[in-house]
Amino acid sequence: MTRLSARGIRHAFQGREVLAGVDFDLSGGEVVGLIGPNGAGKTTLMRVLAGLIDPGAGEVAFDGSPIAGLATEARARAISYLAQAGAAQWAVTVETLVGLGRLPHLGPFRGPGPADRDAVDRALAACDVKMIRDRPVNRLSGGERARVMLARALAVEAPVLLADEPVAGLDPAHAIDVMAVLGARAKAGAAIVVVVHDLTIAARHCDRLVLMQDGRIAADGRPGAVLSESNLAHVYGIRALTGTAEGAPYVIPLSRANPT
Amino acid sequence: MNRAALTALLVITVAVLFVASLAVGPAAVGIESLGKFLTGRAGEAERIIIVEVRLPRALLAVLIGGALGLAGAVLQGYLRNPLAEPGLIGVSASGAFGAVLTLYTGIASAFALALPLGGILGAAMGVVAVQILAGRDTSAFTLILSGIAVTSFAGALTALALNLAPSPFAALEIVFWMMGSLADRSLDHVALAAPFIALGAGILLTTGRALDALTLGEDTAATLGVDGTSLRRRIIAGTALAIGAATAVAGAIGFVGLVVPHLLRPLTGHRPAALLVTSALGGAALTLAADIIVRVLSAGAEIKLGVVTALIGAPFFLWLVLSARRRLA
Repeated sequence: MTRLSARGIRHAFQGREVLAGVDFDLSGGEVVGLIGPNGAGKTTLMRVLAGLIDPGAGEVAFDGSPIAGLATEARARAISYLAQAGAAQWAVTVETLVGLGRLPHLGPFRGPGPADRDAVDRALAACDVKMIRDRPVNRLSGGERARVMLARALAVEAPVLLADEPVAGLDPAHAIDVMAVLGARAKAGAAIVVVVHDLTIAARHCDRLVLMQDGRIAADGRPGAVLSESNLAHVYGIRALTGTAEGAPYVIPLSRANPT
Repeated sequence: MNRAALTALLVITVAVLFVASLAVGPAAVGIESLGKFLTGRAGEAERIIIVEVRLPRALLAVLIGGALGLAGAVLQGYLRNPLAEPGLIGVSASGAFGAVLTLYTGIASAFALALPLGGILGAAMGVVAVQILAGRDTSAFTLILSGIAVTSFAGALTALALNLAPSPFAALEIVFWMMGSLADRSLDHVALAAPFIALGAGILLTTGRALDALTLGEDTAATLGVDGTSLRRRIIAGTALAIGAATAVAGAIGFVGLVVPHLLRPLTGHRPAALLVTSALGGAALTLAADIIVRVLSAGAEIKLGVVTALIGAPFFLWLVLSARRRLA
């Protein structure tokens, strides 16, 4: 079932067209990998989907209703957003930080209740950070911080989760852990978009890949089909070794493609 | 220490300092006289000193110190910068200019409350200028730049008033007023400032959750349902009301709004929302204490409250910087 849909999204920033007509549908139960070269418009599209940018043209709808018309709290409960390279500004504890994900669920004069505490516990457990819940967030390693930030986004328990480069800078084991958490959340019914640069991670952990180039969607489909030799050459400008191992594709970039 | 215990401790500190503030001063009216006053056995002179001299000072110290602490905590949380202070958005400088103008023109001596009213008017004009300059942009950065612009301009106008002062005495009067003081204030001053400070504080106290969300940055806060435009309007309006009125009545009192949130932050788990009430209490306590020190030290010439807070504040701040550097090293 389609939860989030974008139609005819165009957006220009300082005269440059960053998004040049994007149509995109996202259904519950799938992890969609948003891939493409630097500057292709991935983060801008994520920000439009999250309602952070009003696009110059087009419309994003959640369950059929335009998100621009939703109340801010309703939108915050529907769509959770994990910013790229997100950092905490104050040295609050891990648990306090993850608890911020419950803000959209609190009434004006009501603090967090048992349901909120349970949601925080589930998020801490899912990201395997329960044992460091009392630690200040400025004393975390890179891998721990990434998982804590993901736990914060999960604590919203929104039907849509948009994660911008959640595995950037993580070692392979932690990257696999984070992608596994996203996969589990999708199995439970959530609709997930994740921006990934590592094409093998994208290929193996996403149900569907959307390849962006110059503000447009160049390809959209099964990972094996999207990561074709011709797409890699034309969009990324590389030659790569591709194949399948243990039933899932892998991509090893070899060199720049010869300009044709 | 948990939050309830910390709050209780601060409330007790404020209460003790408030009583001390009523019992300390150059006149020989101490704690015994206070006891007599409370049981209705005090003489007329003791009553006048307690009610008309010391009570306004103590009440203003609580109101103004509380406003400084609260506004400092809100602005540090909003700008996610531990160096932010209440004067940052330009209301202190423009309020001070409004008050100085009444001294310069002589309107201040026309009627009792002319000076603080001039201060409030100046602060109001400053905040309108900041709101216009910062426009509808929701980023904190433009607010800082607008505040700096308004502060510089109001500072230049104040310097111009000093420059053109008709006599050295007039200039001295302006300089002394700007140092900040609670001396010779009446209950009329309290009545003038209290409604503005109460309203401003009420508005600032609504920002707690949004400030917590801003721990994650402006984008993520927005996706958690924080309306950046409304938040910024509330912060500008609340700070202008509370700090504008405080400056208008007492002049510029530095360092309280900077140091108090800084000192209490680790005790509140670094959570911006938890820091608001705590900082207001801490600001009240520090200002009461500084004003008591003023009275103890001032045998001949009065040492101004703003001078004492800066004298305590600056070395303390240096110590904070040094200990932070040790922690980072």
